[in-house]
Amino acid sequence: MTNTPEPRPVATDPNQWVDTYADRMFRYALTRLRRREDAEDAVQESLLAALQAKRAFRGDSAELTWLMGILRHKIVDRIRLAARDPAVEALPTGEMDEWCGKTARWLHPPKSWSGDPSKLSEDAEFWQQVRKCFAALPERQAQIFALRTFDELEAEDICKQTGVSATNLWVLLHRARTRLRACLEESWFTPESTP
Amino acid sequence: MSAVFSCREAARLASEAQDHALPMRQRMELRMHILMCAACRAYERQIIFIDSVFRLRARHGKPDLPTSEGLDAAARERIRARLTKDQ
Repeated sequence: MTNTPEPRPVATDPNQWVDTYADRMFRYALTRLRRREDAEDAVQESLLAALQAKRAFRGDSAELTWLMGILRHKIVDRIRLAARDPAVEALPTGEMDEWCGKTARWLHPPKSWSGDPSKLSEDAEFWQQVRKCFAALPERQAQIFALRTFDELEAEDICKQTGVSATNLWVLLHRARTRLRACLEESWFTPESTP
Repeated sequence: MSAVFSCREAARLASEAQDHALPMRQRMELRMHILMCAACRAYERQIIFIDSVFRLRARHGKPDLPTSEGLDAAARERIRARLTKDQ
């Protein structure tokens, strides 16, 4: 998770990059950018950047890790450019639909979930459902949440890399989590015994 | 239900606590609220659950969501041609 591509002794042939890595890179980019053209562009830009950096690439990390690191930076760049737009950076207020008017009580109080995260993390059916819930998030919430969880970046590093302020970052993450949990509770965790 | 502050506030802080260390006072108020409020207790567990299930998937080599779409042949060809040109 560093900014510098990790060096490695023997780089494989760039002619094989597309066949070997492009699908994984594309999935990664599509999860975050959503539009297929944007994801294709990001993959292409990353591979071209990798080609130019190839001379500097000699070390231990796997080639895939190195290429994915470049791709992640391309995506972070896009988030940063969007963050410069004041209209994007100003968060709309009162977006939360979880609350019962002025009382600030839960409209749908969260329930206790049963399930083992490590089992679910490999459950294909569960991820099909997560995909739907994730797709319903506003784009920036989704991108930031992916950086925080899939990419395991610290909140502080996300702020540094994207230029999003800490306060806005916390709000975006809170909203993403709140929407995801409401969506998953309804679609996955609701016990079947409930009519 | 709400001992010190509202559920809205408690949920916000429960989420923030995943991302940075809360000041002592807020931390204590949050713990106090959560001790007495089953809904916010469930909320906190749920968001920790969600964060960790995403991290676990990434650690299994899948930092992405499943998709039926792959990179299509035309895009593949375009990228390959571009790479060859730049070599």
